[in-house]
Amino acid sequence: MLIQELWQFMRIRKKYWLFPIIMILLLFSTLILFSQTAVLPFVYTLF
Amino acid sequence: MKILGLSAFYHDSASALIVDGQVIAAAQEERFSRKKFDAGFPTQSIKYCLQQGNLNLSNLDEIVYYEKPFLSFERLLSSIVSTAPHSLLTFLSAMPIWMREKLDTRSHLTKILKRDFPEEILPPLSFSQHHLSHAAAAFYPSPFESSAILCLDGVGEWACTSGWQGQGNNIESLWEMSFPHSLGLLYSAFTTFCGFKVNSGEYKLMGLAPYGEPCFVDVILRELIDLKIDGSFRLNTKYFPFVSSLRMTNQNFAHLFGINPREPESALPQIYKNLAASIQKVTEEIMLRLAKTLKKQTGSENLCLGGGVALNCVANGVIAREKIFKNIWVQPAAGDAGSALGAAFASYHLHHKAKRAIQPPDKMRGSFLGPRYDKKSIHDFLQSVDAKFSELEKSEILSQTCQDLKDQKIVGWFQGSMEYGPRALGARSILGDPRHPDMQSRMNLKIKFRESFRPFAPIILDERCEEIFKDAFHNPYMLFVTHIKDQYRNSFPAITHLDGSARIQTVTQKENPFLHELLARFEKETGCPLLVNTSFNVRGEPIVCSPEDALRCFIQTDIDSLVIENFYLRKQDQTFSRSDKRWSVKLELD
Repeated sequence: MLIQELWQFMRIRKKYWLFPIIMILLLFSTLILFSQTAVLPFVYTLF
Repeated sequence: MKILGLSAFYHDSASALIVDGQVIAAAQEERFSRKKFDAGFPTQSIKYCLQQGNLNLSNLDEIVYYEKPFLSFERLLSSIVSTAPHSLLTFLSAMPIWMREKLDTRSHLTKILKRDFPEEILPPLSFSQHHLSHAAAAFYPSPFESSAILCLDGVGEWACTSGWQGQGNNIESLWEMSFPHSLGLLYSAFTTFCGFKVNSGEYKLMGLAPYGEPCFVDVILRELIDLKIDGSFRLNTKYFPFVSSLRMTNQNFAHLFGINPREPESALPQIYKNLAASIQKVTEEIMLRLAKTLKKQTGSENLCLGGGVALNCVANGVIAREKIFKNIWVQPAAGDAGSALGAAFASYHLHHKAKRAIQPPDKMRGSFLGPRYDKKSIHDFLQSVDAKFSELEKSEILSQTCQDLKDQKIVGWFQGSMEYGPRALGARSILGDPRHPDMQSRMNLKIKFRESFRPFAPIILDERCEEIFKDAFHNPYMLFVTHIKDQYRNSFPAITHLDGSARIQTVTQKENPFLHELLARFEKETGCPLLVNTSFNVRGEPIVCSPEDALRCFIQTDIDSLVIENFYLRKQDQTFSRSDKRWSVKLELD
C-alpha cells in the first residue's frame, strides 16, 4: 500500500530519482528503526 | 458534516472539530500534556473536541491531517542529495523518525487512533497541504467574503511563503516561495544566534528589538538575503547551513557580524540587541512588500494573515499602519496549531464544496475554544486539596479583584473556556495594574521567572482604545502592536515598551462581558481603562488549562490572589508548601 502510494506520488511529481533512494531506505529500514533521532534545540524542526 | 482536523509530529500538536462549518472546539495538546509545544499525537485534545461535540470518532465524516508527508519527504531527500556529503548527519538523524513514523503517516495515524479509541470505527483519513491549511485557517473563519491571504512560516512541505486569494468558499493559490528561502527560518536563525531557542524564542527576539539599533539592516540585505521590490527573496545559503546540517547559522554568519553566537542565559551585550532590531526591521520590510504585491495582484480591500510569522505582531502593526488594506484579520492560532482548524476547513469548503457563511466578527468565538470547568468540579477539587477559598457572587468577584488590583496585587484570572493559540486573552491570564513602575520587573522576575527585558501587553476597553493609543482599532487577539499617545507615555510603565509600543488587546462587552465589566469597574475606580494581561503560566510551562494547573502556578509563584470562575483564593490564607511534590513541577526553560 505504502509503496503503491509512493510510486503514484513520484509519477505525479515526476521525481523518479527518489525511487532508488526510497527502496534502499525501505530495505534497510529494520536497521534504521533501531537508531534514535536526535532532537536538537538549535535547529528548526525541518524533519 | 463533522470534520476533525489534526496537526501533529512537528511542534505544537492540536486538533479542531468543525460541524457544518461551525467551530465546535479546538485545543493544543500541550495544554493537557503540560509539555510546552508538545509534538506528540493529540489524543487528549481529540478526546476533548469529541466530548464538546458530543461525538465519537465513528460519528465523524472525516479526519484531515494538516500536511502531506510525501512532499515533506521529497523536500528532505532533495536537500540531502543536493548537499551531500555534508548532509550525512542530517540524513542519519532524520531517517529513523521518517522510517518509523512519518513516511507512512497514514498507517501511523491509524495505528494510534485504533490504540487510543479501540471501540470505534475510524472515519476516512485525508491530507491537506501545509500552506493550504494555514491559508484556510486564516481565511475561512475570517469576516471577509473575499480577501488576499498571505502565509509565512518556517517550512512545511516545500512552501515557506505563499500568496492566495480567497473568494466565498474557494481559495486559489497565486504564488509560493520554497525552501530554503524562508522568512521564518531567517528569523529563527537570528533567534538561535542571539541565544534563544528556535521555535519559542522568536517572541523574545521581537521583544528585544526595541532595545537595539537596526544598524545591520544594510549588511543583512547585502549579504544574507536578496530582496526584490515585490517582496520575493532568496537567502544566501553560504550563511545558513540548515539545508545540509543541524545548525541554523555557521562560522560565515558569525564572521559577518564579528561576534560568536550568544550562549543561552548569558549576559545580553548591545550587539545582540542590534541584531534583533535589524532582523525585525528586515522582516517588517519583507512583509510590507509582500502585502503591497498581494494588494496589486488581488485588488482586495481585505488581507488575512497566517503561518507562524503572522504572530509577529510588530510587523502586523506596520502593515496595518501603512493602510495597504482597509481590513486585516490574523488567525489567532496562526502557527501550526491553527492548521488543525485550517485542514478541517480546507476539506469542508474545497473538497466537499460546502458553502461558506460569513459570521461577524469572525468564526473564532474570541478563540475561547478550549476546555472549561463547571463550578461543581472546581469546588470539589479545591475542597479535596484543602485549599482555603470563598465562593462569591459575580459582583463580589469583580469588586474583590478590582480591590486587589488597586492594591498592586497580582491576580491569577481563570474564566470560562481556555484560549486556542499562543495568546492568553482573558480566560487564563495573570492581571496587574499597569500604572505601577515596578510591575513589569515584578511580574517578569517573581511571577513568570523570565528575562527582565520582556514586555507585557495591555488589555483595554475597546471603547477607550482610541483615546490612549495611536492608530488604534478593534484588536481582540493581541496580534498588532501600536504606539501609545505621547501624553500617556509615562502613565502605564508596565505595558509601555521602550519605544512606546504596546501589543494591545481590546475587549468589547459583547465578546467578553465579564472581563469587560472588570475593566470598566477598574476604570471607574481608578480612571485607568486598562490592565496588564499576561499568560497564566511560568517560563517553560504551557498556559494553565485546569483548576489544578492554575492552583499549582499560584502556589509556585508570587501571584497574590487567584480567581477561578467565582471562587476566590488569597495567597496568605493558604497552607500549601512550594516544595510539596504535588505542587512542584519540573520545567525545561524555553
